[in-house]
This record gives sequence, C-alpha cells and structure tokens, in this order.
Amino acid sequence: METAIEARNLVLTSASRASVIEDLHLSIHQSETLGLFSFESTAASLLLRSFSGRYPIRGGEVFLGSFNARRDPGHVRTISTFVPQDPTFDEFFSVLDNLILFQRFHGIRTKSAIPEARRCLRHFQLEDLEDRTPSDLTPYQRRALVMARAWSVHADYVFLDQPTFGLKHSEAERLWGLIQLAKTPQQTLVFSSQDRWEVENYCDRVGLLTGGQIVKVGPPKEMVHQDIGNEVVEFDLSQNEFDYYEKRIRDSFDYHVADDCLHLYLKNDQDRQKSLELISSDQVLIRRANLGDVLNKASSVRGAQL
Amino acid sequence: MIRSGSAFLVDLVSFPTLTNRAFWVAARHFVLFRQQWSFPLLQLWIEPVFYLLALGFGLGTFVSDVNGVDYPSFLVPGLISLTAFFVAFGEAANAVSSRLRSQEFYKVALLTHVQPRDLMWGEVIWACCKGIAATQMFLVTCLFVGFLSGVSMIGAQVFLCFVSLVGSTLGVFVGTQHKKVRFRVLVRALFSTPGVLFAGAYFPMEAFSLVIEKLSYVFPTRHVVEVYRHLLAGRFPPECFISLAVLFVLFVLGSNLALHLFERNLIRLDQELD
Repeated sequence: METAIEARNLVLTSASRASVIEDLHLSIHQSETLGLFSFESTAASLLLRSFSGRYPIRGGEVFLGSFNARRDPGHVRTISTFVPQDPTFDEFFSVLDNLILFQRFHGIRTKSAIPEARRCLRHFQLEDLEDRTPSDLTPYQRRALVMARAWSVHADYVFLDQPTFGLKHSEAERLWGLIQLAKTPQQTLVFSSQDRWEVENYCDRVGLLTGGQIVKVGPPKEMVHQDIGNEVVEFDLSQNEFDYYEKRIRDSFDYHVADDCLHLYLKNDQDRQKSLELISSDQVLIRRANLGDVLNKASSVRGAQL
Repeated sequence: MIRSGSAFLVDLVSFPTLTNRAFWVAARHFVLFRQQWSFPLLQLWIEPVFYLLALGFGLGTFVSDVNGVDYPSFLVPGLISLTAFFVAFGEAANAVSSRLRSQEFYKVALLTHVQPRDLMWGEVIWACCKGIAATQMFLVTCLFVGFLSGVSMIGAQVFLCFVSLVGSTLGVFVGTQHKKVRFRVLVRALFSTPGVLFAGAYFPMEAFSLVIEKLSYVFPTRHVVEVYRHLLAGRFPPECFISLAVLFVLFVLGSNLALHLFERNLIRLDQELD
C-alpha cells in the first residue's frame, strides 16, 4: 500500500519548549483512516498540527506525498486541512459566508465556492441554517459546520483533532456517519481521540501515542486480540496484597496494575476460572478486552523504559 | 518566517513583498465593512471636518493670514495629509490589537493557506484604503467649500496613498504591542500627539527656534505635511526628496519590524492549544 504520510525521528516541543514528541516514527497509508488513541491530548494535537504544516517541527522529518512539512509547511497547508478541537469561526459572518470565506482563503473562486459551500452544508444537514451566525448554533451544529468547512476545500489530507469532543454519544455517532460519507477514496484521514469507542469503530488502523511516541500501530481489533486477548479480569486489591498475588500470577498471565486494581489479561487459551482461583478479591469484574487495556499496557511499558 | 541574528537584520532592510492572499484578507475586511458602511464612513469623514470647523473657521477668525494665505487655506493641506496618515495609523493599530486580543478571525485564517505575512499585509492594505477614503471625503469637502483648487492634485493624491501606506504599517507595528499598555501610552504621548502638533499643519514651524524646527523632523508627519504642501503648490524642491527618502525608509523598516512582531504574535496564537 502506498505511503501517504511518513514521520521520521520527529521531535516537537510545546510553546514553553518542553519536549512533547520524541523520536516518533509513523507511516500512514494512502486513503486510510488512522486514529491516534492517546490520553496525552496536547501531544496528539501538536502531532496533527505538525503533520498539517501548522506547527514548527524541531527535529526529524514529516513527508506528505512529495512535500516535506518541516522545510515546506506552506505547501503542505495547500494539500491538507486541520480541524482544531475547539471549533472557531469568523463570528461576524453567516454560516454560509464562513464556508465561502474559508474557501476563498484556500484560493477557490467565489463562483465555485458558493455551490460547494451549499453542497457541504447539505451533506452535514445544515442547509436550513446557512443564514444564521455560528454563535446561534448548538455545539453539535458547530462541530458539523467545522466538518463541512473542512470538506469544502477538497484537501487530500484531513486532520481532525478530537472531532467529537464534548458531544453526546448519539451526536458523535451521527457526526461520524456523515464524516465517513464525506471522505473520498483519495483522502487520507487522521484523527486523534481519547475515546476508545471512537477509535475502535471508525478507523482502519490505530496508533497508540504514549510518552511522546507511537508505541503500536495496527487494526484496533487485531491489536486488542494480540496484545490483550479476549477478556480482562479486574481484581480490587489492597496495597499489601499486590506483592503476594503478583508472585502467583507472574509466570502464567499478563497483567497490569493501576491504582488499587489488578488487571489480568486472558488470552484465548487461558482459563478464566483458573485466574479466579489464583486471586481472591471482594470485587471482581470480568469484561471484554479493549483498546484502553492495550494503551494502559503500552503506557506502563513505556513508563518503565523512561 | 523571520529568522534570528544577522538574518533578521537582512529581513529588516529587505523590500517587502506581498502575495494576492493579502488582498483576500483585505477583501474580507471590505465585505464586513460593506455590511455596516454608513457609520464607519461618517466617522472617518466627520473628524477632520470638526477640526476644519473649529480651527479653520473658529480660530481662523483671529488669525489674519499665514505665509501670505488665509488661515483655513493654510490649515487644509496639513489636515488632509495628517488625515491620510493618522486614519490609516489608527485603523491599523486598533484592528490588529482587537483581532489579536479577542477575535477568532486570525485563528480561522491560519487554518487556511493564508499565512501571518498575508494577514499583516491584508491589515495594511485595508487600513491604507480607509486612510485614502477618509482623505478623499475630506478633500472633496474642502474642494466644495473652496479651500482647494484642482491644480497639481494627481501627484499629491499619489503621495497621500503612500502616506496612508506608511501610516498603516506603523499602525500594525503599534497594534502588535496590544498587551503592553505602557507602550501604547508612550506612543500616544511621544509620537501621536507631538506628531500632530509639530507637523507644521496648524502653524508654520518657523515660529520656533531653528533647533526646535529641525528637531520636529524626527516626526514622520513633519515630512508628510511639508511634501504635501509643496506638491499642492505644484513644486518639488530637493528637500522633498530627502523627506520622501525618510518616509520610504520608515515604510521599509516599519513594515518589516511590524511583520516580525505580527508573525511572533500569530505563531503564539497558532501554537496556543484550544
């Protein structure tokens, strides 16, 4: 599969010069949807900004197609669009005019900008609101509008920073439905999220970002299956009990300790009953394994490395 | 992007370049202006007219003549040239500081192909247009009341456009310092007020000693008024070349410095996480 975006030894620092991304490597395929799953929202946001040529790269390289985002951020901007976590608009203009203005600033002529703006508003079900100002819209409508604006410029690379942040689950589902329909086969879509449901359902591959690095990349279900297994058994334990029970399970199970809870990962061939016999706890929870477990496990490994 | 050290010095003296994206930005401001044009236009026109009424007709009745002409006729060229400079200066300073402080426009624009340089030049172009519009309206008023004749107007008009351009670049520079209240107070106290009073617009600077008269040339407005008076009179003595050179250097240095500070502000705004 053709590579659309490639980051090599990428280093990013925050405005206060603190290191946020360190020696990051990532390869994103043409026309795929990649989700960045991370609890480090600043790092994920800066990563997307740097990919789109909107944040200075301190070290390493990022290539988008034939352009180098470090040396030529201006060109990268012409082929990409970035949607920030907080939707911002030119509040002096109507919904329709905001889209037209955005297209004009991308060098699209007004003549073709107007029908395209209307098409995008229709796609994101905002056609009845074209004369309102963005401040009149609900949070969901503002999110939908920012997506309509992003898709109105036909960028090859679309970067969404926490696209459904602050929305209800039903609203997020609805918006993702529209985003998936809006995405063309030529477009490469990269988004960041702290919501594992979003990443598990709406991306082809997921990248786990922790400790300033992408520690794992792959299809979400496969990743959960390979790294964690089918099920997770959670035991609530006191601090004094951890040492003892850890010794009992160390050789036979993968596990992760978080706060006062021991997470035991059960692979396909491992017996749930056996784990329950090894550990005794007042509160035991058995649930399906998910991406959050993969990220927690990866974070603890990365933490130990650091 | 402006670089550091010696490269910055090179940037500071290099001739400014602008792209058509700057005109897109200016067009956006024009569209917004068009939505509510009457009040801002009245505001631009009324201020110099008040000055003309108060000083020309009020104070002017106590002054017999200045340099061989009646006082309103002496005052008008000064007022026109100061209008060209200070309207552009004020509009640019206020627009940039308010947009940097509270409006989302720059954030939205930076998500597009528009770059900080384009935004800065867009502000300069638009403030310059407003300076020119204010000047034209006042000029027509003065022609109407008979304080100006149409002779030698074309060269003078081109010069007024340049004056507005210089004023707006300096205005952007001041606007970028929106967080420094003390700086803005200093600009008003040491630049705007003396720039208006000692420009030679309200009275001939020859009224002062030679030292003070020469010192008044530190203000760009002094050069502006002097050149404009000469152009209106249909002459262009050698000292006008020096004044033009001073204004040109001020424009180049001012615009590059303004761009540097503007970019710094916007990069901070762009890097600011939502």
